[in-house]
Amino acid sequence: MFSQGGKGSETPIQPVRDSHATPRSSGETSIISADLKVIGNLVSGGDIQIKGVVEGDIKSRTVTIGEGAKVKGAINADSVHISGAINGQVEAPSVTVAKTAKVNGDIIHQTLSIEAGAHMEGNCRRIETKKPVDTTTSASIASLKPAASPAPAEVGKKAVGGG
Amino acid sequence: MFLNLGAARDDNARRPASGEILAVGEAYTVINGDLTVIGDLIGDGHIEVKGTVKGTINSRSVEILKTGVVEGAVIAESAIIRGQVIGPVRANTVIAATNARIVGSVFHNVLTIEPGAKLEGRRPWRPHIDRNLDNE
Repeated sequence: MFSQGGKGSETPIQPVRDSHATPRSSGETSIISADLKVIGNLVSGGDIQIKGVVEGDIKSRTVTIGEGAKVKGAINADSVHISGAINGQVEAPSVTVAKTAKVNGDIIHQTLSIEAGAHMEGNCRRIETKKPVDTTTSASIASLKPAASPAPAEVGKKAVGGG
Repeated sequence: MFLNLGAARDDNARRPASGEILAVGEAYTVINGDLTVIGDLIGDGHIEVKGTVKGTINSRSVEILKTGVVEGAVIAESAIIRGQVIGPVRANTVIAATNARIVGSVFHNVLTIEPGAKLEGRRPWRPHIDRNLDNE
């Protein structure tokens, strides 16, 4: 028997919660598989696992570069784990370099771990505090563009010198 | 004989888009809802797009899920479109599911259009589509 008043079953009664409506909390990991090559930038508010090749910059919350993976470009994240090869600067509060890693570039970190056997070529620089990576797509895209217009300078708030 | 490709299929179902057998795992790429790729994806396995891709996708099997948006070409042997593609689609087997919106030509050999799919471009048939050739 059908319940009265309803127009059939075209819509569920409870509100549909689209997990993708709040992209920052989807909780799933994006995977770039071993057979895949990405020529371009990756911007994510979540986690990225790379097993293939990326030629471009990566901005994300966490980035895992798997064994056999190759990245040619800068990485900016909250946490980076490297087991593959990277050619470019890594900037993250937490950086882990595994023994299978091949890093060619600088690492800017707060906490750094390098396993014995890792191939490391570049400077390691420690920074005290780092703002969390802004992975809101629009902001990141703007910052990735070379000709992003600078923020307008604050004008007009001149302090009038008191006596 | 006939694959059940009902619109009710769960977006999170983890299986290849096409009927063919694909090695799940190494050849399975997921572009999640929170990921934006500004560039091209070139592969030989299965690519699942729930996020945004601003560039060309070329792989054996491609599935654009409901939340997926591609601003560029989708080139595959088998393509299932459940989301948006602003650009051409070139694949031997193309399935435009209920929520699909394709703004561009759909070059195909076998085309399935489910009720409700919005195809805003031409739909030329081809005897064979080679995804490694950059013709048409």
